[in-house]
Amino acid sequence: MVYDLNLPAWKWPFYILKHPLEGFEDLRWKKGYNMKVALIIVLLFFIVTVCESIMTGFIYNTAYVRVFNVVPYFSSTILLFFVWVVGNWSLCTLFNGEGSMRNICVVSAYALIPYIASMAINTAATNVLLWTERGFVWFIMYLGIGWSFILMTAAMKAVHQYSVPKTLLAMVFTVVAMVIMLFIVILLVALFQQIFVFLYTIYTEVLYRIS
Amino acid sequence: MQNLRINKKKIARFMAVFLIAVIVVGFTMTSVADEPYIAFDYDWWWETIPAQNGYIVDRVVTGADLGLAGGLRNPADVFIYPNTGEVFIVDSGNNRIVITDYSFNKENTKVQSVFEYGENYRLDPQKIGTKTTLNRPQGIHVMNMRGETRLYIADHDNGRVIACYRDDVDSEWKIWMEYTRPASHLYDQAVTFHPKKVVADNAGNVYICIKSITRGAVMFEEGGSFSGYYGANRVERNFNAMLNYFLKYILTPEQMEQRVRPVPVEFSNFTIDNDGFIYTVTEARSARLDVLKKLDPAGRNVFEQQGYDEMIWGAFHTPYVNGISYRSSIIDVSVDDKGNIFLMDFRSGKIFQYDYEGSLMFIFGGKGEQKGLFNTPSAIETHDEKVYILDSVKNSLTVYKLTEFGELVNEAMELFNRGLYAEAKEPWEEILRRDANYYMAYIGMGNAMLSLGEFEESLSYFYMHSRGGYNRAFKDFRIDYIRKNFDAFTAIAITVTVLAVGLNIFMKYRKKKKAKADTSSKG
Repeated sequence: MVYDLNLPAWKWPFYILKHPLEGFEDLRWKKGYNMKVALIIVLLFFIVTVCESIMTGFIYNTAYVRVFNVVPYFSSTILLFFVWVVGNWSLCTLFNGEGSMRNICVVSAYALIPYIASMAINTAATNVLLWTERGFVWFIMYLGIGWSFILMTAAMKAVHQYSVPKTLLAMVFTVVAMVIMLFIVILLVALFQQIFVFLYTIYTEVLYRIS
Repeated sequence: MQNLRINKKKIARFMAVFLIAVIVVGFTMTSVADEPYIAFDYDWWWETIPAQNGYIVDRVVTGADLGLAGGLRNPADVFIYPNTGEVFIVDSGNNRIVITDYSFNKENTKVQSVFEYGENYRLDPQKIGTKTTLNRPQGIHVMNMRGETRLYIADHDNGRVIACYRDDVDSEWKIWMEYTRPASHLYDQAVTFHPKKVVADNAGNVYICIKSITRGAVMFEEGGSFSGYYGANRVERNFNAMLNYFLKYILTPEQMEQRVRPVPVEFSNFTIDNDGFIYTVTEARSARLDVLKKLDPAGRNVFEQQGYDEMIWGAFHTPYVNGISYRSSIIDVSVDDKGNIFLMDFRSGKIFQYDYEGSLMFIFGGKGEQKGLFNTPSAIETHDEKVYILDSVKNSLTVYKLTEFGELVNEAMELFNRGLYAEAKEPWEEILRRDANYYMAYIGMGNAMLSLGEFEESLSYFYMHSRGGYNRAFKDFRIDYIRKNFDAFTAIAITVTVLAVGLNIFMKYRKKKKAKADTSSKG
């Protein structure tokens, strides 16, 4: 079967969903990367995660909804996504990866679609399903996660032009790189806080001396 | 000037009215009985929320009230024998048993410290007629066996449990049996035998709780022969147990012998209910498992079979003050004839009342010097909706009675537990009017509404109170909703099907047309 691959930007994610193994290669060949679509998907990721915690049916809801704080959801979606992108780029440029930061960002976002969709479907489904019917919910969840994982592997493989074992290894070490990055960020924040406190003490001391 | 004088008058009048108001309010306020403790409850997230008091102090009984020479000294246990209405207090420091009744009058109080070996004494005929005394007795149990009243006393320092009988209600208790350290090889001879608490079941088996034994209660047959251990706690899941689990694959059996074996924490107190179930409580603060067990005659935990053996009994939170953890330490348990479970927390001095399924009903009491607070609570007993708590330092027996609110809750709970959900609706509604925080009332109302067929109401009551209840209500609600809106659902289903089929045909038609156009343009 012959496909017309001169697709508009918004159609690429759907094409990739239908062709998880070939899709990213076609995307690369056609240079169909579109940052706007990718950013919309990441934003959707954030919104759907927030919606999931608030709107999941009571029978399935384990979130602490009494005090709602959006910051953890932000850092576990948007922030984590960009840490993944930066971590992957910094690792793979050292190991002959062909993907640029922009391309990694776009394909990673496209690969997230099944996971986001499964979350959205489950958020709706938990409002009509009983606890005895939880099998459907788990099924959709595992389907979404599995599909997204396959897509992510295919995306990394295509964007860097790696072999499958190398792709998997690169993904594992990307996670390690992410941990190191977050560790350094936390260290920096703590350090700057101390510097800030020190400077503030000097400021107040000077203030007392002057007045 | 004129204005100022008028203002002064006004102020004076205002002050007078204000003063009268204060006095009136003050008088009316003193007429409200307030307790020295704050009642609380737990919400859906196990956070503490204020609640209405279920119990208030009825009276505090001291040794002087009972007309006892020397008063009470470190009383260790209290037992109420409902058949005769007698109250037995183990006056541990004075080595005697105090027998009184609910009125706690001097006239009705008897004391017995010397026990004679009766003619029924079987172990040693030469002892019949001789007398013996108690040495720091710790526990007591009274029961009716084949029409005969029997008294069991855990005589701690003498290392024995004595079983007594009496000829009639007014006569003294005489010994007919002694349970001492078993000579059996099953009983480790290095372990001491200092009975702390004792209960006996309807078959005459005697269960003795001993602090130094972690394998459960020591169990004797009626005739005095040792028949084994009963109802040990499970081994705590701690780091050492986990380490041993992995090390047993690496180390040799000899090396494993060297390691500290994980042993269960011994339970510290127990009681027996009317159906013969034995409830044990574990005092040790390190214990997280099996703080409360309900054992059947075979020694299996009924709570485990019902699936709430992982429940947290007593206080949910562990406050830390000056580096000391104030984790609950349950020292005694009592079960009333409805099956309600009362736990005495030594650490906070609070009493936790649960129904027979483990739903929290009331928390009351506390630590302190006022009436209704405790210094060192040692035993709890319930009878006829009153709660009796013995304090071994204040040397007093505190009697609690139900408040009006508590009576309402009891009434509602009784209907609820008999499955009369709809009948319980009215008391639950009244309870919610008085205390909108009362957790069980929401579950009760949810069930009431569910059985009345008002599913939406039921859902709103179960929301944030019971996942299981919500699930049940939602099942009925969903079916009901689909039935009521069946026409709409059918209409939507037909429309969607028609649209989908139509769209499919249209797309195929368009594709064909396009293909035709392509070939014609090429040709």
